[in-house]
Amino acid sequence: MKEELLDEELVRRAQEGEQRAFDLLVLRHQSKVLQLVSRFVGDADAPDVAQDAFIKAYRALPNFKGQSAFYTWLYRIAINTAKNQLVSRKRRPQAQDIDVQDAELYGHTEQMSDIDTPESHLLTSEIQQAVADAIAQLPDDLRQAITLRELEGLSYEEIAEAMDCPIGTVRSRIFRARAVVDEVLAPLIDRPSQRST
Amino acid sequence: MQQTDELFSALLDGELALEEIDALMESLDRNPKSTEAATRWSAIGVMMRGQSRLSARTDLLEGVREAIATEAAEPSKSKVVALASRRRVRRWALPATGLAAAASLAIAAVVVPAAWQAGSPAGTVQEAAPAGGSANVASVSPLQSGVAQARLEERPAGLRVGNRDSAVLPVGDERLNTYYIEYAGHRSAQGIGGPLGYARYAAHNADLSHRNR
Repeated sequence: MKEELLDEELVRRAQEGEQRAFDLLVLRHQSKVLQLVSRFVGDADAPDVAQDAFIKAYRALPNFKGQSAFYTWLYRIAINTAKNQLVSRKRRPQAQDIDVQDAELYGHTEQMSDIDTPESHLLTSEIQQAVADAIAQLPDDLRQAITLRELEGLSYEEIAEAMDCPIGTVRSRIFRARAVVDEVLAPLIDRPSQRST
Repeated sequence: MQQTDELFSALLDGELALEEIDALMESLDRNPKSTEAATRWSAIGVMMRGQSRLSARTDLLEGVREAIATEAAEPSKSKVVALASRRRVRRWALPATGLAAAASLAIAAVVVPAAWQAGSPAGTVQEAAPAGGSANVASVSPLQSGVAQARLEERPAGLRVGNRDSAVLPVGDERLNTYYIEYAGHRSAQGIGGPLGYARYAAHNADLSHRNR
């Protein structure tokens, strides 16, 4: 609920012409949109398609009336953009419509992603392993906080209740956990060989 | 710096307080490394869930900003807005388009036979009229055949529908033409079918006359 309120406020401010509010929306949702479209068009085209989806969303933002959650609206735009991309490449889009939530839950090996290369799978495995190792080495309080957030999807308030600590502490622990994992992640991502895919 | 980064972390989780939005927006330009880090942080959860590593390496923000800035400089490239306004026009114009199409058909049905009759002698209706033709039409027409005939005769000979065909077809067909015109007008006034029935008839009639030649 709090997430939706934040999105509503950012959308309102973006509709009033504050470009940076839309920037924050991009930052907030880019990861999920990328995952979503990559399942349709594959990893190679996903960044372009996701970017195109955000640009379309920006253009259409004045018409967004808030009848659905912003992310639902955005994901529909992303799915349509991905489908159009498939059609333009003369690849058959999914025969059936995929619900936004379902699309998010699809595993990376599901039928949608049929054009990834073995190399991309290898890179995925390598980075995932590095992240998993980094998480495993985190202090208990940080690991528990980020796990409850990322894997269980709990809100800060729920995590605070589960860990019996203030919400501010939860926020700080999650941030610190991310910073530690990022120290491992950033060098892997910046490796030149991995920029080429 | 750490405080700003913590705001980015909270943003990703949707846990940013509304009063913190301004501070975060201000830091967007001042701390580009923080936005890069935020992109990677958002990917950590994705990878923890065993999904793609794509999002960790792809920062969309810069590209989106550039595209929006380009469009702002060249508003003519705003395809979606253009499509939306076209859709509005289409919805508004839909009934008018239908009426225009129906009117075009009606005009074509009236004008084409009139063009065919150019050069043919006026008054062929009477010359070609077999006995009893008028009685046959009266038996099928819901309108008074006398009124229809009077209207037909009021028109200049060059504009009479079916004059050329009347040289081949009996006068009953001429009256049937008139009937169809009147009937189509009546149906159109009642909102049932418009002039399409007559247009269909006229096309059939013309086809017949060509075959009979």
